[in-house]
Parts: sequence; structure tokens; C-alpha cells
Amino acid sequence: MHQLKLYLLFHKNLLRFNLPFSLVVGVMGGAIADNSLVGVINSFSLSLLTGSFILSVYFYEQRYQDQYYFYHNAGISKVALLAGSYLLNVAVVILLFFLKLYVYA
Amino acid sequence: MPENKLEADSILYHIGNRQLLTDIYLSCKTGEIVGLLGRNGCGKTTLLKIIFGTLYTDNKHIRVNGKVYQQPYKYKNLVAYLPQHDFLPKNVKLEKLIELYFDEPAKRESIKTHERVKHHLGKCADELSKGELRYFELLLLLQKDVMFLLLDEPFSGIGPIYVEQIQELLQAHLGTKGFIITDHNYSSVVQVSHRVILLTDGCAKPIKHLEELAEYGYIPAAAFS
Repeated sequence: MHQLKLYLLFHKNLLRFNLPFSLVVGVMGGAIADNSLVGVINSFSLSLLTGSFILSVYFYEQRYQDQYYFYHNAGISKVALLAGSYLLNVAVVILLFFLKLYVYA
Repeated sequence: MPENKLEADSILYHIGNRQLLTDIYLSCKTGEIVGLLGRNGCGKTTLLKIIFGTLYTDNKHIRVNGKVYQQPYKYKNLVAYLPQHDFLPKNVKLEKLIELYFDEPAKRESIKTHERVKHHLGKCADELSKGELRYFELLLLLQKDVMFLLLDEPFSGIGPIYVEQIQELLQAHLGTKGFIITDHNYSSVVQVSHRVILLTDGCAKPIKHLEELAEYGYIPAAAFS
């Protein structure tokens, strides 16, 4: 259970970079799309899983690289942390996909 | 007292054309503090990271009680590592960090009620002084049920009082753990260690007499005059 909390803490720390970038991309996507809300969801989701995620990992490595040892000492590897965080982002995108279906309906 | 043995054998590591570590052998047993000394850039941190399992190298053989582990940190109760730089998330209060790290209420309470920690539970890591933070980091790792603790510069940048307190803390946990410790504050390392190893020219040299540190050029000869 405490490992899950550590994964969530790492995810929260990555989101501090990932979320603002994705929101900016989402707003820009919404501005150029026919349906603004769908445009925001599409751009935000794509950014959350690609460019912004990569950027957030890059910034985390630049600023907080030593904090990986906090998780390593609990037996969690860097690959596992990144995979866990990415999967949580995928879960958010799936929820947004259902929201998009609702909007279309 | 269960006696465990950590052995790091045949460790090779190179950076470009430079062979940093050449066939290193290092061992540590429960109840033992092994001091690892060496000049800047000689590979002390690299060696500790290789033993911990977070740094890849072409050749290594890490054994605990005769069993080989590629990445010991991934296994429960084997090894923990105190890195050179602060490693705790800065935006989380100490109380929360303790709860994140330990499920067992007894362990949580043991740290929360510790004389030097209980007044800081509501603070984040970046609100502590260097000495307080180092002490807390060490306390956190010492509560883990690991057999061995690798300490990378635990005395770096902290005052003499905290150096002494950290030394006392290590002594208090010798019954259940073994320690490999490295620091540029060599007198503190020598003081607390049962054995001293000098990393020089990529090799690990066991030190029998402190004068050998001067002979290998680690400290000035004048230190003994």
C-alpha cells in the first residue's frame, strides 16, 4: 500500500510540470478546433501522453534527480516510476475520452 | 545476532577511455563499519551506486550471504543508500514522509517521537538545516529493515555536534546492520570505522596504518608530523 502512495507522490510531482504544459496546449487546440471542448480534450490528452510528459520528465531530472533515491530506497526503480506515472496519465485520458463521447452524444 | 555478509566483487567501470574502477573487491558484515576513502573523482560514489544497483556496469558481482543480486535495491531488506545530496521530496512534511515510508505504526512512532525529530514534524525538508536534514535522512533509512546501509558523505557540510550524533546513531544500529561509509572528512570516517579501504588508481587498498594514507598521497605527510 505504501508503495502505491509513493507512486502517486511521484506522479503528483511530475504533474506539476506536465499539467500546465498540457493545459496550454489544450487551450491552443481548443482555439483552432471547430468544437472547442473536443479540441481542448484532444490536444490536452495528446500533450499529456507525449510532449508534456517527456518535458516533465526532463525537468524533473534537471531539478530533482537526487529524489529518485527516495523511491529507490523503497525498492522502486526509475523505469517503474515512469511507467506508473504514464499509466495514470493514460487512465486520465481514457476518462476524458468518455467525456468526449458524452459531449458528442 | 544474525550475521550477514555483503560482497562486491570484480567491479569494473570505465568512463570513456579512463578505467575508473579496476577489479574492485569490497566486503562488509553485520556489525561492521567499513570506511571508504579516496580523492575527488576516484570513484567512491560510483562504487556505492554500483553496489546499490542503480548504476549499470559491464562487470560486477554483488553477493549477499552468497546469493548474487544484479540490482540489490529492488529486493526487500537488503540494502539502502544515503546519497551525497539531499534526496527527500522538498514539498512534503516530515510527518507525511514518515507515513509514506513505513506501514508499521511502531516504526512511525519511533521516528516521530525521536528527540531531534519531534519538533520538526510539521516542517518540509527544505525548512531544516543541513545537519538536521542529514540526521533525519539517516534516521529514516536506519529504521528500514535492511542488512546494509551505504552512506555517501553523511558528514558533508554539517557541524561537529551533528557529526558526533550521526556517529552515535551508527554505533547504536551495529547490532543489526553493516555500513559502508565514505566522506572527505576522513578523520570522522576513520574514527567510526572498523576497517578502512582507500580507493586509489582504480584499486581498493586495505589500510592497516593511517600513515599509509600519506604514503598513497591521500593526505599530506605533514598530517603525521
